[in-house]
Amino acid sequence: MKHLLLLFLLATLSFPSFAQESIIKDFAEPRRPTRWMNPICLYPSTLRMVNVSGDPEFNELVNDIEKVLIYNFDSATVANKSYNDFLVDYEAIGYEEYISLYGKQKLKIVGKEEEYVGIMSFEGRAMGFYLRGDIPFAKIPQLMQTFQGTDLLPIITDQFK
Amino acid sequence: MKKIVLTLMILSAASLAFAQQLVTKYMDKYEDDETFTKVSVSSKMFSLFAEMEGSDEDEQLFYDITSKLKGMKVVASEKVSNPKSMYDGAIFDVEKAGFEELMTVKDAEENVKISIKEKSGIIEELIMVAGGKEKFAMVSLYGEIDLKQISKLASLMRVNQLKYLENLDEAID
Repeated sequence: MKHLLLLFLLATLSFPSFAQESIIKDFAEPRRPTRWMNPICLYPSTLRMVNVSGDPEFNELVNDIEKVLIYNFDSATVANKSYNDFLVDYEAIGYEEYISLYGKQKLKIVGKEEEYVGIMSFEGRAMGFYLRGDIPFAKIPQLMQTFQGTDLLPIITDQFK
Repeated sequence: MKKIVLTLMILSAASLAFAQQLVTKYMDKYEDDETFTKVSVSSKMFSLFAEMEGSDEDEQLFYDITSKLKGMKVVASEKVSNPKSMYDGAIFDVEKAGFEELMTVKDAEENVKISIKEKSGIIEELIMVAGGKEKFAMVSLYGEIDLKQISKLASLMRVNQLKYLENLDEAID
């Protein structure tokens, strides 16, 4: 009985994070450009691998990031501009807008507690992302600079080609 | 008493929401027009603009200024077909919405007007309208605004549309 209760508790406690990750998964999986193109999934260990120079500040930056998922969307989703439809479902469960930018390029990020989801669209391509963990927001420009100085950014952007 | 406080809180929140409606109206109007860039930044995201390469003093100053801001909205286009009528229309809308003129810059290239909405001695919103030969921009900063610090914020953020705010120091001295 104790085991059953423990299992139930574990299942209940773990449900919210999976449920919230599942919104983007359910939306993006059938909209991948090709069936064999998997989403990019990064964990602290893989994020640290990017830090080839061993910069301790970078490791500190990504330390509290638990998971990053990046999905590319197929051309039909890009053409009908439906790639941000799933964000409505996140907003419906209390995710707040952090930033939105609409024009030739598009960017929108919503977040709640330590979960952030968003979309990016540029040059006729679009991607959605999910990030779980604590991000030192103020240090993101530094993080991006490090990304640009490494091979990770080309790997991600090459997925669009 | 509780009800009065609650009513006052609702009214002040409503007035802030109303103030932002002007820029939101322009954002909605050009929602599907990709020649217009529409940006909305919440207070949570202000920290993203902090220039990490700046000195610690700059960083602290940035946090001090942005901690009182509730957000920023921008509608801008580099190429509009009728820049003068857009600029005049926006100025008319700003005045109609009860904003007071703070500063005007007119030269051969661009017209810029910065207006504010004040309540109980506190500036709640600052609107900047800029119109050039082909360009148009409307920027709204809202929350609790300290004019002396806004020019510093503009230079720290390095956002093109905010460059005119860097001259606010001269306007209020």
